[in-house]
Amino acid sequence: MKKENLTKKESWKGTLMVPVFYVVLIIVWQLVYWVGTSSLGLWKSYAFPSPLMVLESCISLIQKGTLFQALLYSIVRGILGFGLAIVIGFVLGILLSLSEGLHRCLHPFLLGLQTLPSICWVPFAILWFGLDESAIIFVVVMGSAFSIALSVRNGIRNVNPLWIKVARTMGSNQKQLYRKVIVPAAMPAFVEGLRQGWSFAWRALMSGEVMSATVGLGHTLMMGRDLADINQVMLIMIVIVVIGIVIDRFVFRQIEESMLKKRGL
Amino acid sequence: MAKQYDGHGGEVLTSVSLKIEDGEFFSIVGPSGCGKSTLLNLIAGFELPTEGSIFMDGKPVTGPGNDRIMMFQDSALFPWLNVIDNVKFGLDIVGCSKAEQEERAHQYLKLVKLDKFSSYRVHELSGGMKQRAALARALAMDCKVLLMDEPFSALDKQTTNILREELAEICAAARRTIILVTHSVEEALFLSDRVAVIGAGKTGLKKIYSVDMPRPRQIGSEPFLKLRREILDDVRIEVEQSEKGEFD
Ligand SMILES: Nc1ncnc2c1ncn2[C@@H]1O[C@H](COP(=O)(O)OP(=O)(O)O)[C@@H](O)[C@H]1O
Ligand SMILES: [Mg+2]
Repeated sequence: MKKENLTKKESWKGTLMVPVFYVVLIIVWQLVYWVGTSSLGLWKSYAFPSPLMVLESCISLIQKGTLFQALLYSIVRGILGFGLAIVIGFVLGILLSLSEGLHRCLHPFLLGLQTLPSICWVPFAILWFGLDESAIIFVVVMGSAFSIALSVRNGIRNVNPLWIKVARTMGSNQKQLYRKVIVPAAMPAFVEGLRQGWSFAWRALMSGEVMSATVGLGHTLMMGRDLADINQVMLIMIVIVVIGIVIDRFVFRQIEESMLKKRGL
Repeated sequence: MAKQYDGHGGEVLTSVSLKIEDGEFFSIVGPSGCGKSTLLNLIAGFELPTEGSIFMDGKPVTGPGNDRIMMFQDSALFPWLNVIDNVKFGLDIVGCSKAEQEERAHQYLKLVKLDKFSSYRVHELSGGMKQRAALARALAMDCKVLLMDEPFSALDKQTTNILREELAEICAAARRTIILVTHSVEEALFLSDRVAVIGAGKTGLKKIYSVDMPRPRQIGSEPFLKLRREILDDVRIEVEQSEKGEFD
């Protein structure tokens, strides 16, 4: 009897707690909207979003096809920019791992670039590329490639030196050392670096789209502002967050967890 | 042969002159920090001597090679591979065919009594099993010389005792030249044909004892205890001297 209670409690904590929390949160939000706009008159109804109006906005944007098109553009740009950032990040990261001198010289510079908010690249990108797809891709690459490069370099450098010694005592050449030891050993660090790189890339993409795109989630967000439609603004913000979380959770965490589990970590 | 490191280390080994025979079990004991690992690293080819040279079958050692396989205190198994793939690792590097890899890996896993665990992942093994898997990985290479740097010192006493006896059996089965570094004089005497003591005061090799006792050796027997006493005294004098040196 007691045991049953316990498992019930656990299943409540494990599966139901989180969804219930968000349902309650949304209900509270709706109540705050009602009380705050009509009863107390704290806000004008057009200045405060409500869950029901956001949902309405969502349905309307889906019906017009705007949401789907914006999503498609943003995701394709994200994949292109992030893909390019991965290539550049890995090449740079491998170079940095090969030369300690190069790493010492470039490390402060790369860290500096990393602290620069991506939106600061937008004026430069527009002057360089014009109001063009490549300007946005450029912003994405600048926002994420250096973080990937540093992760790749650290991943390679932090490979357990004993594993390298084992490979060398077995007579492996440089190519075998990389293929059979360094790459698999550094793989968890690579995935972690990509995960972090993706979050930078996604944020950079939104900066670029807000500033210069003619279609895409960032652009739809700005459209909401131009139409003074706070519910559309809220909706797009939520979509941006949800996509970021979904990709982190169901792509990167998934790979990471299955890999670490295999290694017993 | 001598070895000198830059910086505080300075000269670690002065004039070590040593000849190890084919098929011999050779142990090195000495106080910690005296350069035992350095000597093994030199033989393995991870480091090069600052003076003199090391010869293997008449050819000078210029770098690591798979005729000399090194084992460490940590098993250093690869956690992304299962047990049998760890054993096949070196075989794949030297370019054995898949069938041969399979056969040799099974053969040596059987020798170290891990044949039932071939598909286990590294983290599912106990410390002793990990060291046995590392031994199988090394032996499978068909190396002439096996270099072991305190391979049992991270294990509990009981496991160590079991592994020592197994190592004695395995060595009888797979005749190799073995150079073992250990801090246990008992272990050295139990396993070796000869035991070398390295001095602490940067003196290099101090003395080499021959162990002429029939195998399997009885740890409690009269000659065993006598020789153990003798070597321990030797090592103790070394430790005292090195401590005095530090305070001077
Ligand atoms: N790579 C190195 N550079 C400088 N000094 C070293 C290096 N490796 C070892 N030493 C020094 O050489 C001495 C012997 O080390 P080691 O061979 O590891 O001793 P042992 O294995 O006998 O305990 C120590 O004093 C250590 O500080
Ligand atoms: Mg040592």
